[in-house]
Amino acid sequence: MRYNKRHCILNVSVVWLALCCGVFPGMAAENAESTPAAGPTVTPEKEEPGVYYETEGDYFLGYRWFSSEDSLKAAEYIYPHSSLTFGLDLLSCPLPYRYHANAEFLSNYDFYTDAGFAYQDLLLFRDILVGAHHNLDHLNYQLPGEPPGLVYTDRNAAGSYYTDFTSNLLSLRLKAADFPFHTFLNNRHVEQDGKVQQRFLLGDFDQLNITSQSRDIDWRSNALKLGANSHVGPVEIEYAHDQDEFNPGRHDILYDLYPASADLSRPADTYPHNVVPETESAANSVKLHSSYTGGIVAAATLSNLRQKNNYSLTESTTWKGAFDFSWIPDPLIGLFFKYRHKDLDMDTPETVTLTGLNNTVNYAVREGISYDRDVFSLSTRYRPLNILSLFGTYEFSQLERTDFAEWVAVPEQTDIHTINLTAHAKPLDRVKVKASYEYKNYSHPAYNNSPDNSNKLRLTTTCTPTSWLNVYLEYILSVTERDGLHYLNPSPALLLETGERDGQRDQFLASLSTELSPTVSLTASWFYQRWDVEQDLAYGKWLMENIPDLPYIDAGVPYSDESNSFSLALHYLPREDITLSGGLTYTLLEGEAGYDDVVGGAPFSLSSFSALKASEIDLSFEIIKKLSKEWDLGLRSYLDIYDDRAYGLLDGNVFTTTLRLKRYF
Amino acid sequence: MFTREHQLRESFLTMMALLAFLSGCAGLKESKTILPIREYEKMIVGNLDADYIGTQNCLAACHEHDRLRLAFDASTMGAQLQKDSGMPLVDCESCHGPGSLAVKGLTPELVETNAGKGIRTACDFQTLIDLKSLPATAQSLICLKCHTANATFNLHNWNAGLHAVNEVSCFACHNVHAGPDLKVTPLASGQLCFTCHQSAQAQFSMPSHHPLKEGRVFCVDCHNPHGGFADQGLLQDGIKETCVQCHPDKRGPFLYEHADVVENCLNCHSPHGSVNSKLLNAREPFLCLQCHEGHRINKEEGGSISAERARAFYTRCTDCHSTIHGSDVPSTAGGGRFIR
Repeated sequence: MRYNKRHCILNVSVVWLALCCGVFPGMAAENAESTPAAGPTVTPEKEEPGVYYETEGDYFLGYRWFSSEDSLKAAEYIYPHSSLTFGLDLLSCPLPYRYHANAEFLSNYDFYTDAGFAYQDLLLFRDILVGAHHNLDHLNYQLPGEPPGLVYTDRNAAGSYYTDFTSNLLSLRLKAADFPFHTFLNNRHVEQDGKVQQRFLLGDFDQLNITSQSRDIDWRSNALKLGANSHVGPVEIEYAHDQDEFNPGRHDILYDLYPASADLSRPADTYPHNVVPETESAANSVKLHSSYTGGIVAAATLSNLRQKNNYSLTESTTWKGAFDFSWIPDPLIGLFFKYRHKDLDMDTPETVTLTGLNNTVNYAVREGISYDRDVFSLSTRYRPLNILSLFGTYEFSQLERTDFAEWVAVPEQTDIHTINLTAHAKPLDRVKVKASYEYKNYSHPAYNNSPDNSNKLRLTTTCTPTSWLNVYLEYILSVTERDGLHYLNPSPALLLETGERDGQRDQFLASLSTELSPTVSLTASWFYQRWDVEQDLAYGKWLMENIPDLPYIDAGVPYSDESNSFSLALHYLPREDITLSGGLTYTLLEGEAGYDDVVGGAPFSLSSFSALKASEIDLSFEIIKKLSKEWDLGLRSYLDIYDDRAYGLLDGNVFTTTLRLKRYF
Repeated sequence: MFTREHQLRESFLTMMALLAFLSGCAGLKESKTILPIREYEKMIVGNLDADYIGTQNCLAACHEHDRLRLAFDASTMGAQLQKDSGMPLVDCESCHGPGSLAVKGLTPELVETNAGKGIRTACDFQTLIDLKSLPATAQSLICLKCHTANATFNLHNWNAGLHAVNEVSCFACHNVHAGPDLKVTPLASGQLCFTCHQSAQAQFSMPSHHPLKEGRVFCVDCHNPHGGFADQGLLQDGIKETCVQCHPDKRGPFLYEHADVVENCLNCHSPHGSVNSKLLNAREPFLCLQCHEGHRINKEEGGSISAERARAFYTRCTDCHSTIHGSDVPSTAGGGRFIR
């Protein structure tokens, strides 16, 4: 793979050099013969004056105070320590050079920078660096078990879990002088460091040891893309090579002592588990399209992706093809056709060896599923009136699986037919309405959460009755139904095709924005979401000692999630030199599931294990005082209170205050 | 497999070498439109009675637009659209149409005299192309005239993409007069997208969400507003390819795959936000029980299992099945149960 990478980089370099050699002499000859721009002028152009774009921007320096209580759920993405902050906005154009920089640094682990450099139109460089701190929940393991059959173990009960995420996206583009030929390099480098809660099971059904421990992570991922594209008369063409690598770092494998599983011929030993494998991939792609400006535009893509897991040596090869075609015979009508093809070929080793400290055990491996997917989509647009546009789409998707013989519950082929009808209308000058209906039909859906049929309706209205008031309303209703659910019963081995599932999703958004006066603006909104599903579920069952049975069916188990989110945002300029802004969001969450006691006399309620009842208040306030033309002083406070009303485990609040001094230049 | 790749690579090299040779031909710089749309061409050609006068004549008398002109000249377009670039239309009139009628009767002296009196002298802008009233496709056509030879191939799937089909023009997102850099910055992309996609913004207010409102993840990390290979204008060729940009540990391929479920991360996750932790579509165990039969819930000798055992089996499935996104280590029974 490393050889391949070097080889491909070499290829791209050779191509780039070859093209430059071809392009520049041609351009030189052409420049000698070039004539001034076409187009009549009433007076001769004066000598163009030199352009001087004054450097502008600002920078700030500040300090952020942090305080929190209990769980850090309320501070999910906040680095939980006070810190110095600074920022910079800069735009400088000493032509032919151009520079820009935008930076916000809140802590060592929480920052954003976007910096770029350009020279004429020949070189464009940009780098976007982002750092985010993510506080993770520590799931509760302080639960009673039934030793020795059931034991909960938290090896790091006081562990605090988090990840520090850093992403660097670099892009460099070079253009040939006076010809639309470009080479480019894009590189995305992602680092994740931190400490996570690793959960795993030691033992088996007769000896369940449900374990948690801290795990350090130092993951590195790099995705490099090199390519070139050019405009060549009637078409444009691009070739790109991608090379991705993921390195799981030093803590890629955990080892633990597992008890013997005599009936399964696995002796007690220390075995690896929860492996995070090193992976790599390489892809080549070619894109070709005609001029975008015609009534007919065609675009085609062909790419090949090869992925490899360096731990298990599992490989996959994917071929992808795409073809877009648009035809606008008349401004009233547009026709759009899309085709997508994906051919995934999994190459899984036939056997795997589990290597313990003192023993090795060989296992046969079920072959991974390969598939071919074809998607055809035909859309039309019709604009009978200036105030009305009608859209219609039919899409057919066919997924054909291969090497699926060992996957009893997965069908060979899944077809999906989709019809979408949409209308955009402007019945009044200040009112816009959008209505959309989508029907989907699945033939042999693979998974129970895929429906046989789904219907989705979406209505949106934007109304601006006056220049100072805007109202936005949106409602989405989605209804799904499914018969013949699939449940795979392990023993006796049988695929049950029974039960049904009905789902309904409602989403409503109402938003009102108003400028109460030239100095006061207010936005209020309400967002409501509800997901209701009723499904027949299956629970494993013993018929009698050592004789398993077909499962219990819990008919029509209701499950729901509901959220209401109210928010208010205010912007107020009490004086020319003072800006006030504030925001409040109050979110209420509720969820429940209604499992039945199918056995009878159960000393528990399954429903009680997965209830959801919580609220979150998010309050922010900011005041900015302009001290002079160049300076201003700002104070921003933020409060978040999370109330876990169901279990109390995630209760917590966070308060931050940031004071900063900004200078404009 | 290697032979196929080798052939592909050699084909690319041959093709690019041919391209290098051909690109010496001046004719290849020109754009060849297939079947021009006459009605749109008429809309964007401007006033046929007017002449092109050049930016200098257009703006010399009127300093209202000095700032715009400066930003334009300092942009990449300014660097490209010089007289000797060979492009037929340049500067202001590239988009606004010929301007002679707009400045007819105006002289620098008149403008300055009026300015001295505190009177603003406007040009007759109604003789220019009424850009705001054009159909979206015609608006985009103005930009695409030049950007068909784009540096990034960002627009490769534009014409049959969601925004183009739904009559969203370039103007909806790009403010040509905003400054030298016309690109939308990642940080600004959120607010820009949310002007239309307001419910997406509301979804990010859920307790479990990607840090978009915190300014550490951006719409353009996952979506390409210009259209792409996959649905929903995803940045990469598929859902999984998009997610593993930042979650590379889930990339695989794995020895034990979760069938082909994980090809579509949305089977279990709502990427914008969820009421449930880890952006899950539903809470465990219901999430898993939708597709899988639960563990045995009665005892061999009869009667229900204990409360402790029920909680172990029916609370957080991923306590034990912790490698649910794919595993390389066989489980006790030798299969892919995602517990190692």
